[in-house]
Amino acid sequence: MLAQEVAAEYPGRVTFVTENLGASKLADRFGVKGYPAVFLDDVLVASPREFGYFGEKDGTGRYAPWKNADSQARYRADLVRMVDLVLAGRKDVVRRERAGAPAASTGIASLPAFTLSDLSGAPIEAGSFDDRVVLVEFWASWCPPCRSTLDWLGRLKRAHGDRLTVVALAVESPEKDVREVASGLDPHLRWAIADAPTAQAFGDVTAVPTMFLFDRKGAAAGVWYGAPLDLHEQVEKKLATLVND
Amino acid sequence: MTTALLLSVVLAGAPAEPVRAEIERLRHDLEAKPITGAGMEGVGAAVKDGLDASARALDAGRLYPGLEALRRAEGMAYGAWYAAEKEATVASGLPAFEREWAAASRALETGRNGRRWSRSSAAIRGLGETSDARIGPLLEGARGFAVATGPKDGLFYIGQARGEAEFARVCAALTFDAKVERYPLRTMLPELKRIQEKATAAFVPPRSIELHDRFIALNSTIKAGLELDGAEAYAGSAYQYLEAVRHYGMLHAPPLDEAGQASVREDLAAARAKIDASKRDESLAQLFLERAASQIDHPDGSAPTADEWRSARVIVDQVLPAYAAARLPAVASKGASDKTVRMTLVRWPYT
Repeated sequence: MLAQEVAAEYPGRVTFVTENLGASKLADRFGVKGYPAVFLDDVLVASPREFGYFGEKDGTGRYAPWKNADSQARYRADLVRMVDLVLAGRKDVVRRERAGAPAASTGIASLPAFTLSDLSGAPIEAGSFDDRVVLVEFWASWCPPCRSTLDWLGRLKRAHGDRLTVVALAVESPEKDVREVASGLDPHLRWAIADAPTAQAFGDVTAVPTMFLFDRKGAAAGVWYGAPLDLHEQVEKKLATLVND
Repeated sequence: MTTALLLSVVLAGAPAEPVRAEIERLRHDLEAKPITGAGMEGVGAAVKDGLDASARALDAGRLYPGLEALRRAEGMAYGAWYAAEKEATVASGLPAFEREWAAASRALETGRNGRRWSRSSAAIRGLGETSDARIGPLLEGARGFAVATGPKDGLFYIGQARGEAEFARVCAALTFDAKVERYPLRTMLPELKRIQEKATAAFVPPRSIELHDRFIALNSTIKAGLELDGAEAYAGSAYQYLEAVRHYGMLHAPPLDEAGQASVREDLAAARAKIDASKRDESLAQLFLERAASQIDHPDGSAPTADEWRSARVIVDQVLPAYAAARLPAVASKGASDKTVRMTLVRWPYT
């Protein structure tokens, strides 16, 4: 709500609105696939990548780590400055400065290399999936939509058996809670806790649930952010073509 | 009869019949589908009481308290009916719940997007927009409960969301005389921000402990106002802002003695006369004036509580001035140019 606080400092001059990720035309137009993102009119002034990614500790994003008070102060000062510039008719300056900022989204073309241990201690390596379709779900124990998505992923795994590997990677969740959730769901999913490099390797994962689908050769076949109403329909359709390919 | 009085009839009288029809429809449905079952003890009686209260308010010429009572009753009724209707359907587990949830979400979203408010008064629009804004959180809550505790636990909230949508639909159908000067809708963000700061500053012991429930109501009202404002539902945000002013005023309002009670009665009558004489859409002020009237003159003849007297005083002393200020353009900061900018925050839908 820092953005809203800044907007409130300009009564009658700054209109503050919120749009949900997944239903924002502005976000779609700029390829924004995570949250938060801030626009001033049609200029993207803060992209998700600048707030860091799950597990990030070193603060390579301009406003990361977000929990740090200095990061928030920097964000607030930047936003005030950019609002002042736009109100002064200098949107061109904002656009020019933003041209060097990190892209809104860093997509991935193929299954990135990563190595983790699953909850039983067994290794999970991106290179060991043996000609299978791979579905990677980033989730969190505090995310209700993730829970129902994971339940459904268990059903997908049972339906496709050895032709599909489902990797469920928890982020920003206590291990105790991760184990509790996993114990109540399908044991054939590969359950693990993602570290920061893994979240970064998948293109700076900043939202949960985020789901990646890869074909038998490891090429990216789809990515879904959040839990849109037709998620199951979309993924099942895509998956059917991949496993039978 | 004067022109002013005719206007008052146009503003306050015409919509009562569709509201009465909705009350009768719900009464009929309640008779046909009594609310029973585990966990529903008392819900049926509460719905009936709410519908009776709504009808009594309309009988007393108070449209807005009638609508507010109808909304509460409608939400409860739809929640209970939906839970009973779908319990067997979702007994097979979460996938069945998800299908019901998705279908209900799609239908509610379509209905909300199709509503038009161009012929509504500000208060009716505010009530409708506020109900529409409750749909999303109720649906998310439904999903959360279904996942966390069991599919059937989410059903009541889906039903409640349907009740809110139904109420908004009723509101959208209530139209007003187009000749009345429109209420100047605008963002209430500066006012909401200021009252949020005041609420935060007031939250200190012992008041924060003694009046904890009032603080919760105040903060949730401000939050609702901010969300409505963010969605550019400005009638809703004005309604919630004025409600927040009332809650805030109640934190400090002293009790009224007999002279104070007589005084508030006179002040309300004077304010009502002024509003009735207006040729503008003053429906938001009417809403609160009718609230105050219903608080100090119970349709069933019972005596007002001390809090109701205090609330009526707060409405006269604080809500009406805040309403008058809200009709004015927002104060621009010093040195302002005529340029404006729209700040859009893209956020995660689930928090």
